[in-house]
Amino acid sequence: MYLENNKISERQSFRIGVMENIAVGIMTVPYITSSMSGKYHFISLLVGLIMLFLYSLIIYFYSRIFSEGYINAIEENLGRGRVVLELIYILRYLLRGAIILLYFGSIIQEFLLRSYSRWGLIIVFLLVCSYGALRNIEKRGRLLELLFWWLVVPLILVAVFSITNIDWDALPKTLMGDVESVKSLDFLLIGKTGYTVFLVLSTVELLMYSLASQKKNTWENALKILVWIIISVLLAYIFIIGILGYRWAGSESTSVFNVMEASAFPGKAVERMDYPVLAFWIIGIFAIVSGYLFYAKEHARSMFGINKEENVLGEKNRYLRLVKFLIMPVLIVITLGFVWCWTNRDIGRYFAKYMLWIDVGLSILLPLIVLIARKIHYKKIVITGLMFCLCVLSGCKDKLNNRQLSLENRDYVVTMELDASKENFIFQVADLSDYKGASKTQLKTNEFKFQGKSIKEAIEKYYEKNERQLDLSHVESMTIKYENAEDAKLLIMEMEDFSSISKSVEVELNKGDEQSKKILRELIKSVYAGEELM
Amino acid sequence: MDKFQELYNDDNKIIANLSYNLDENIKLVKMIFDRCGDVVQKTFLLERGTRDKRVHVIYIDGLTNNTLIEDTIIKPLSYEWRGEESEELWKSILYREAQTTDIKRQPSLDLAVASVLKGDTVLLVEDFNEALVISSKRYPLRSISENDSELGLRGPKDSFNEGFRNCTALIRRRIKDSRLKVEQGTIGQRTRTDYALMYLEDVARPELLEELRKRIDKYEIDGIFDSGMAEHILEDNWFSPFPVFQATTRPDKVASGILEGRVALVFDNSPEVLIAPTNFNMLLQASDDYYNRWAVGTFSRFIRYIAAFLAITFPGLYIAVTVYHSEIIPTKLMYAIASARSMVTFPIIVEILIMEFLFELLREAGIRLPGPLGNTIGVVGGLIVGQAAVDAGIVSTIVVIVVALTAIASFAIPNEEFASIFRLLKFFLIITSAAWGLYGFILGLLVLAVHLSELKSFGVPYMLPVVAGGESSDERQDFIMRSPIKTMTYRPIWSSKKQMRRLKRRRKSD
Repeated sequence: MYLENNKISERQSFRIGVMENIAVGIMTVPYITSSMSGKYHFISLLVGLIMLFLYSLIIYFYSRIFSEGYINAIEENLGRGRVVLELIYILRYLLRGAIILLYFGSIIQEFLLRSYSRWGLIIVFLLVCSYGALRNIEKRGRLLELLFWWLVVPLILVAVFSITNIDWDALPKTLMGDVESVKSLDFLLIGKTGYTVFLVLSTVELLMYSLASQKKNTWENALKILVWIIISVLLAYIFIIGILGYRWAGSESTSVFNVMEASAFPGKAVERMDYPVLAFWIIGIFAIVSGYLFYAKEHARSMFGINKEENVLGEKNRYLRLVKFLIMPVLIVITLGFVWCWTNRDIGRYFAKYMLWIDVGLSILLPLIVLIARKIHYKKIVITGLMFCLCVLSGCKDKLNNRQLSLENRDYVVTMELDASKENFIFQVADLSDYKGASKTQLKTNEFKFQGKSIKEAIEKYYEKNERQLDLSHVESMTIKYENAEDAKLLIMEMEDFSSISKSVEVELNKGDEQSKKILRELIKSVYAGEELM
Repeated sequence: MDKFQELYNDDNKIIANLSYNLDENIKLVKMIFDRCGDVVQKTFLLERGTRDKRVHVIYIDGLTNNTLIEDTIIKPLSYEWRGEESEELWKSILYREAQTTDIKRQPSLDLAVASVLKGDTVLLVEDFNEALVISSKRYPLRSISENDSELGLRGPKDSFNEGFRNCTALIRRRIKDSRLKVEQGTIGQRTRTDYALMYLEDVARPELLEELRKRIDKYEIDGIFDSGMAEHILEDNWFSPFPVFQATTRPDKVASGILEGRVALVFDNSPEVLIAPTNFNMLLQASDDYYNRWAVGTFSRFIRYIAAFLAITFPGLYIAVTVYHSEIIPTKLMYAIASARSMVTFPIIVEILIMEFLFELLREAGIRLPGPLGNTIGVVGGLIVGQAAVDAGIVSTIVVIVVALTAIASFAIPNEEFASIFRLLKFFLIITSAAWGLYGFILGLLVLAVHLSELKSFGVPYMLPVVAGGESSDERQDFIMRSPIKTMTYRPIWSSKKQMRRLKRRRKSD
């Protein structure tokens, strides 16, 4: 009926392939292309995707050759020499998992839990990932099959609900408009950026395992996975750049997450969509981190010969049970160690260089060694090669301030009036003392006036006199008065940093007698693009 | 002590054998039933031509149909002898005199005693080293009543009761096929509880049956009082909160399961019959789904899926959103929540825990109290205590709504055992959400997803057809959408490959 044979169905293979490869790429690629190559961002993306396609061909080729499973192939062809190779894989995957964890921890901290320690968030997540990675490939297949729509549906919803925010007429110009001619292209820059994009998407290496575990490894399924990845990345790219503009998208690694806030749920039943969507994005990250842990664990099992010895000694053998039990805790500790290394400036730079120039090379080279070992049966060369690889490999803030009180202990800012020239800040705060419901009472407000050079300073002055939390998450409208556009721009840029302020708030701009109304998101985009505010 | 050591082995089985000497046999039986006031034993003297013969009758008062014994055994044997003197007495009783068809020879004393304990009558005959067992059970049972735990608006209303034979009969009544097999046995060294595996010989997969038989034989236990106890012995993942058997009191549900190639396990003294394999989807299905129009059935299922999701997530989600991510809440609703909470002393998490605890307390009290009192406690608890708690500033009105909605959602789950798991896991998500907001909420869901995706019920993935499916389009015909019966032409994947088709158009020539 359902045999335990370490084989997965085509659908499972497809979903593993897609889930392990889209979550990181869709949110980082726009930043990478925009920040690295500016106006050549879209061309760089295309170059990166072409590289990805070629790399995927190699991976598919390997998955066909190692039809018995890559790890089995290592065990069968390398003898004791496999230990070195398995070790390299374990370290590679944990290193990759660690950088994703670090990035993920920063995002979650900045957008969801500012008052929490990043390390705490990472450790909890890593534990859940390791729980997901403990099982065999069949169970992993079933797990990602189950989670697939949990990731995809929110992404589709964001796309549907935010589609109106894209200026489709201006999109071609946004993507390609600044490029005058082919001659003017900076090929070196485009190449470098494209390569970086490819590196981010090189998680497709893991397809080598899942495709080989498929009951029937077909090129159609491999192609389907690749097309899904490319289309997802492209669509996400178009939405992000179309809504934020490439300058804003490239300003910070986290700025692309502002796009989630652009989507509005019909009838405003959910005030802001970015939080729920971000929460579901976690599932995508879980897929990839648990994937790296899973394959690292499988290599570790192979390194200790657990699969083989289990057949000989039986499952109840104490030594085997101990080793099996210890594998995952050890992997968790190493991963945390790598996360710490990534945060260390010097080691992190060293690791980054390794990731940039060596890691992908290894992903092609190592299977090649296994292949050669199988063909020529000349183990010494293989082991020397492995030692070389290992040598190459070997050469190779905490809590954010945020006041968080319960709902009834907050002052909700309804409107803000910011005078950039006089450095005046007026907050109209909701008075809920007699509030009986929206239809029964007119909302009363209290006014708070502060002097300061920035919003942050004004808020600090507010806290000098008040113990209640000033909540900016439900600002309905704001007015910015200014004489010098640069002052207003500074205020707008400051608001970008406040993740609690909705970027969909309507802003009234007053410059002398001139008046205009815009959405905050549009204003931020204009500031990044160097355009006029009015 | 010595006496018992002689009579019983370590497995609580009688090791002594019956002999040809009736006096010895009577002595043995009297020793076995020493100080058993409910056991009736009497030796009769039967006139058989020139000499008298003796028989010893044993049965348990209260478990046996006395009238039947009088009419079919005692009277015919005592007054209506028509046999020959030369014929052996036991043969004469077995083939000529006993006026019942359900009489058989039993060479084992242990099994003969077991029969007596089940309500049968045993005859020990002079010069015969076997017992004659007459089926004469008449248990004190309640009658077949209307189903009160799995109600449905349309369809049969009867339900199983504690009678083993009643249960098998209710199933047999629905499947009149000689290939419906009833494999019987006993489980429990002391309770000797009868059980039966019921399945369609050609539809159920042999490997599933083999697995069930293997698991039943795996443990020796002193007693089984309900199918629930057996369920816990037969499952693999004892640590999992999710059941791998479907327990039901509805005979139509069991019959339908058997037609799908599943196996029913009926236990004596238990009104709940177990069906294996099962999965998440099946536990959210109700019998009405098939009796109503397909669109109505589908809609009901859709509501139930949403209810299941709410039952487990709603309080956790409320905590995550109100404590950590109030930005999500529409502004006016948030003002209402903040305003309602301004009089409440406790933080939101404590507020939710108090209300959830109160609800579980009411539920537990309502179950233990007799019917009318149970309803009263619901009214007192729900309306009076709830209102008082709001007025006293212990909880806010919004939390009352959240907890009430969660409770209503959990009642929409048709399987009570399954619903209680949702109520339990809700606390897990409350804790993760209270600790890390939406992040914790999603991590909690991920942990559940990992567990559910690895879970199997007798080789069938628990989350089928969401996982491990994709092999054919038919697997989704009985998922959230219940396809029209006309289009449900194939049985589920776990039934025998030779009998996959369950619906086909009759040919004209037929």
